Amino acid sequence: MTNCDKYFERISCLIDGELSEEDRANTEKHLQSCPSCRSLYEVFQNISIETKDSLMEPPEELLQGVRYRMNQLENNTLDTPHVISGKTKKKKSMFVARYTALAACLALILLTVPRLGNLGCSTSTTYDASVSENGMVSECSIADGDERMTAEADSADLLQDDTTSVDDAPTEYYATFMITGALPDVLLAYDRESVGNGSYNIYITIETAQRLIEEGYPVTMGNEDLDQALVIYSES
Amino acid sequence: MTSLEESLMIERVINGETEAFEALVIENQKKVYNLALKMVGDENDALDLSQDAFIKAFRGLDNFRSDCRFSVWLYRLTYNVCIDHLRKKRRLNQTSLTVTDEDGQTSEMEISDVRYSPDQVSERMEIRQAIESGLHELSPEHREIFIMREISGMTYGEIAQTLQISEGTVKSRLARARMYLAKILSKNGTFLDSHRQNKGKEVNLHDEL
Repeated sequence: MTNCDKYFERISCLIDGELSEEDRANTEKHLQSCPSCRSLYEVFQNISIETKDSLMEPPEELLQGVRYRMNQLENNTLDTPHVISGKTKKKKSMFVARYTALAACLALILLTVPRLGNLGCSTSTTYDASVSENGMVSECSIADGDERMTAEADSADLLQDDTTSVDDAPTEYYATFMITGALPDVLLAYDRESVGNGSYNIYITIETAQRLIEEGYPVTMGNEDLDQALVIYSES
Repeated sequence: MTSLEESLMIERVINGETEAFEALVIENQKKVYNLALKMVGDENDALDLSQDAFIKAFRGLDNFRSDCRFSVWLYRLTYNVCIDHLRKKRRLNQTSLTVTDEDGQTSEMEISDVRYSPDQVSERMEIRQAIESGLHELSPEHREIFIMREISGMTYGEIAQTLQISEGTVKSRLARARMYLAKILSKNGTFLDSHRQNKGKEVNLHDEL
């Protein structure tokens, strides 16, 4: 390695003002005595100058367009931004209410439907289920002559039957989402970790996870004590 | 706009003063627009994507964590918007227009991605076009770090945080990006040092790469 090699990076850092006082002084002193390094400095500097000078002023339509679309957002009650205070709280309470209502409906169905078809029982089954006060079905027994099948179900499990389930859902996350196609706006600012074949892992906060749940994205809940959720995103 | 002013502006937007977002747009629109332009190469697309980026930032502002500057967060958001656009465009293959001839027959006309086509160019314009072309010959990681520094004006610390790499790696990668770009320009006949008058005489750049 020549003496000039150690100045290669420093010349680049000098352009950006990212050298310590001592290194800056040493580098400038070296440039005075080395034509090759001085030439390199000039090239780097001119590239930087020309690139910055070539930056274009954005057209007026950019700001006008943003104003227009923000007005549209504010006037459209179906597509309001979450940043407006009060509406976030309203959406959270709607989330709780929605799932409580669904749990109550499912409990009612269990009480009235004679059998659970997907348990593969014959037509001569009898059904007996006990329902606790909070709507949880603790156990349902299905008797079919020679067979007795029991299934333990609660409303949370039944909810998950309607969602895209992730095999062996990781419990090291608050929740796991599988999203294909268009990436939700709320995830655009997150970094994506490529796992190959056009698939990415995106690690998100609980707040963002709850936003995705509110927006109806299929979810598998994990460990509610954790503070990170996982999105497994696939472009197609 | 200082960091504190930026934080106060964001707080105002989150508390419902949506007009305060305009100040953030004005402050950042040049960087956002030029980043989009560098990535997609078309002024109309860059305009649309810049607007998309700002609206997505507005909608997702309560997800902004103040452990980095708003402009850095906005960079990542704009970058992802542009990448998604380029992926969709790649899936659609090529940009095309339907044209109708005199007999009423329609056909598809393929158009090339022409960025600049001035009738007369000055030497500075030539240099800028050469840099623009040279950038596209760089590897994606070298191009990205160059853009982050020269277009988005990010510090080494901000670049390191965004790319999840060390500052040491930022320094060496950026230096190499500049070196590769300089060599591309030199190879293509664009000389940017004081010897540029002697065209044909290649600048004695170090060859440790």
